[in-house]
Amino acid sequence: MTKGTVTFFAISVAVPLVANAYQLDVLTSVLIYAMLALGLNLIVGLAGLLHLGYAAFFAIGAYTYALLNIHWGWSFWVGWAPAVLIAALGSGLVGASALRVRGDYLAIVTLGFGEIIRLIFNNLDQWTGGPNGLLGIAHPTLWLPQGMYDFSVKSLPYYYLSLVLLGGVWLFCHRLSHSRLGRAWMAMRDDELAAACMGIPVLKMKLLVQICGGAVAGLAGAFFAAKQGTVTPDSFDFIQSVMVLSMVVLGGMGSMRGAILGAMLLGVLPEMLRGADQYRMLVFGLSMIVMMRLRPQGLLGRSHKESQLAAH
Amino acid sequence: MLRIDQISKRFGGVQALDSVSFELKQGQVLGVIGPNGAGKTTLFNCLTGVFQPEQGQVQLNNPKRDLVGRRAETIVKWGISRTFQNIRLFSGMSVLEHILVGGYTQTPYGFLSTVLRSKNFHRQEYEVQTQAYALLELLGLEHLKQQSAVDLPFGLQRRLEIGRALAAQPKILLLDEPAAGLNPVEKQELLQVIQAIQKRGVSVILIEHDMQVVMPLSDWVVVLDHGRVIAQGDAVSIQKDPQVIEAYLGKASEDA
Amino acid sequence: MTASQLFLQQLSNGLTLGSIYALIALGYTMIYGVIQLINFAHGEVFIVGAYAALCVMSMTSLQAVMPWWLLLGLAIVVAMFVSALLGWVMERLAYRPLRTAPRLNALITAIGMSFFLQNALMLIFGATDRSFPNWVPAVRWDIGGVTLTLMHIIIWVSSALMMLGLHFLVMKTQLGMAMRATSQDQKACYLLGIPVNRIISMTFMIGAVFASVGGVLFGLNYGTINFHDGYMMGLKAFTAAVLGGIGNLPGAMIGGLVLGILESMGAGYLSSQWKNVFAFVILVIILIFKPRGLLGERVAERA
Repeated sequence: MTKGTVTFFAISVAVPLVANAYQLDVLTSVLIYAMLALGLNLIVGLAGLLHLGYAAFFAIGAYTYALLNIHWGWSFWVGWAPAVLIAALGSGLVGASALRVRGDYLAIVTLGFGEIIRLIFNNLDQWTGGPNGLLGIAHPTLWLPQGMYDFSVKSLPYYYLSLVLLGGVWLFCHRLSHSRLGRAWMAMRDDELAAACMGIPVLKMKLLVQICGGAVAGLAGAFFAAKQGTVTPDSFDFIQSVMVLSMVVLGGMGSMRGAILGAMLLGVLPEMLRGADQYRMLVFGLSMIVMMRLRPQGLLGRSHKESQLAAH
Repeated sequence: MLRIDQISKRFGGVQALDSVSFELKQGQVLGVIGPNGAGKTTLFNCLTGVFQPEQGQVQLNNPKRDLVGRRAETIVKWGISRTFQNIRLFSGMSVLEHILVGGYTQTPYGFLSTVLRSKNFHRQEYEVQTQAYALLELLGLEHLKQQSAVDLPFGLQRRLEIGRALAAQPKILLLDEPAAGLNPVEKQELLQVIQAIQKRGVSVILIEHDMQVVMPLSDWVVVLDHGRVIAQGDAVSIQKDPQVIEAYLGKASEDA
Repeated sequence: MTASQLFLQQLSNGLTLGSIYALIALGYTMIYGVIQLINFAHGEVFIVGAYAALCVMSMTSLQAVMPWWLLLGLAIVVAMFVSALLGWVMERLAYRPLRTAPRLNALITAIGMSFFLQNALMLIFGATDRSFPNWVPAVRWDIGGVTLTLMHIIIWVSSALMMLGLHFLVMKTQLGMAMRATSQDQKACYLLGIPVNRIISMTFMIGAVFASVGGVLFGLNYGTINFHDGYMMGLKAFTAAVLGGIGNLPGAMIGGLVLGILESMGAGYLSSQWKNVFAFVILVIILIFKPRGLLGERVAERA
């Protein structure tokens, strides 16, 4: 782990000393976005598959945990695991059905799947509560020597829990990127044919990266459901997918630090423009356009040689 | 070691390969020459699983394997790797990373090993990194290892592609016009690199236009024209073959 | 209502919706044809046209001096002009600089553009539905239990006329020839002295004009418009373009009609709650199994 990473986590641990409850809530949502951005960065940044339906797996994680908790009383400490598995499975299935679709067509297919999944949650009233969503998800609790500690609607415990989860996601993504798998993803992103001729099973690798990315979204979703206490389908719409994507793009596709930076900037910025909330989406759109024009590799991304990429 | 038996490939109305047969022996350098459009690159694509020939067989000996109908990634695993006529490097990756990607088949550790950083992971990563540094040294690229590959000068890009293919530890290396676009000095260096590769016991199939590269290197030369083998033999006899002179050398002088 | 009446009624609704899809789909397909870009913001161009017309139609000073049909005509002209201008600006500022960049960059720009426009519209016109004046007289005919309205007929006729016009433009005029040439081989066109940049600009503007007419018809027919209608209608029109084979003009028209009819049949016979799911399922299935579309012409698979 690099110095930068350690510093980031050290500062994050110390933040509650100076932040109030409201600020901690904002930061917690930034940390959720950071997890999502890291997960999507695997798919888009590392493997080069433009995915526009990522929020669907966030939704699958959230709904899975919510249903397990409401109907069978599963606590967060065990409920996250099936949420991760089912989101990974969902992402894998979407990936498998679109294996041979490429480039901007893949973007549209994933968008389509994202909308289908969201609409299914929206329309299956008897199981998902329809547009009103699911209510009454129990907050996590911990058994400490002094007795039971309920997270309830406090800010601090969620902040630290999300920080721990982000640490786990970071480790997961970091280990994947710095391995033969990460190198294989980058290679197939840059040139599929050359990658296949180096022995990389391109289709399998595409599937794997989507499973991994889906798993991360599932974890973030389970945490989101546990923190909110409710889930509604409109938290997982196309705008959400694009928001996470613009974090990845802004930070620099393929850069993990970039993904976190993107999540911080786009997550905190609207809060700083308090009262100008409605400009938030405008700023997202504009930042994507300007970024592609001025610094297509993002703030922390590695530059790609355009001529090479455009050639095939 | 590699037997190509009567393979044919057609693209629409064009017979790109027409019953091509030849054999590569252990440790040989085999040159494939022929005018533009003779089907040389198509041949490589059929040998490496990029295209599937409609007819014929490609057999690898020891262990005996049938290459037709296999995916590109399987064929690499069986010990055949290649370079490309139009250099195909990974635009977002460094020189060192290219060599490491080349070593993909040499590091079979899986997903769990990766995430849990198992002993297997550490051992194989250590091996592939060591191999990568050795290869970079062999190719004279070690001081450039952190550079983005596409920033390299043309000659070094070609050399890096060879390095990437070698990192797969092939038994057979396919080089598609490795001398194209190189200056005379670079060509001399290339000759030495190919000889060094041959010394390591790797057999080579070489597509090349430049007679000064093919002839001194090749133990056996196959001449393609319009998808057919019009002659094969050792370098000396090929240079004398009247059919070859007409089809290839003759045309080349007309072009010039 | 008998079974055949229900069928015919849904068919007529479907044709109406489909005509509007087709008008928008033409823009997607033309732009994809010349520069292989999915112009994600094309749906916003459509709804901008509707808003522009709404602005003109709401001007009381004009209402006082003009009969309704003249004002409606003026509104359509203004809508065309505003959308065409938007199309031109968009191409010039956002897409042209990226023409040699990786295609994913251009697509991300297009998504950004769509977001930007959507939210600009929301800020200007508010997030709620705006009612669109319904000035076309509510003439209706009852033919064997199936209701036909004047509005439906106007939509069918005007979109059919526009498509014929486009067909003429593309097949018979010099501009159309240059557009077809550009979509085949841009480099060769440069060498032949065809002003490729101007052709691409024109393509964006023509596409925008068609979308804006679609927008006005949409507003007149459904009575309300909302800033996010552009996104949904845009996506469905894109589906229609893909259905017919992207890059293929007759394909976009047929795709639009087929999608419109399928959707209203789905809504009539299955459930209207699932009709969007229905459209997306069609989109996904076509892209996966038949990416060249029903009329399949252009090879869609590019990395």
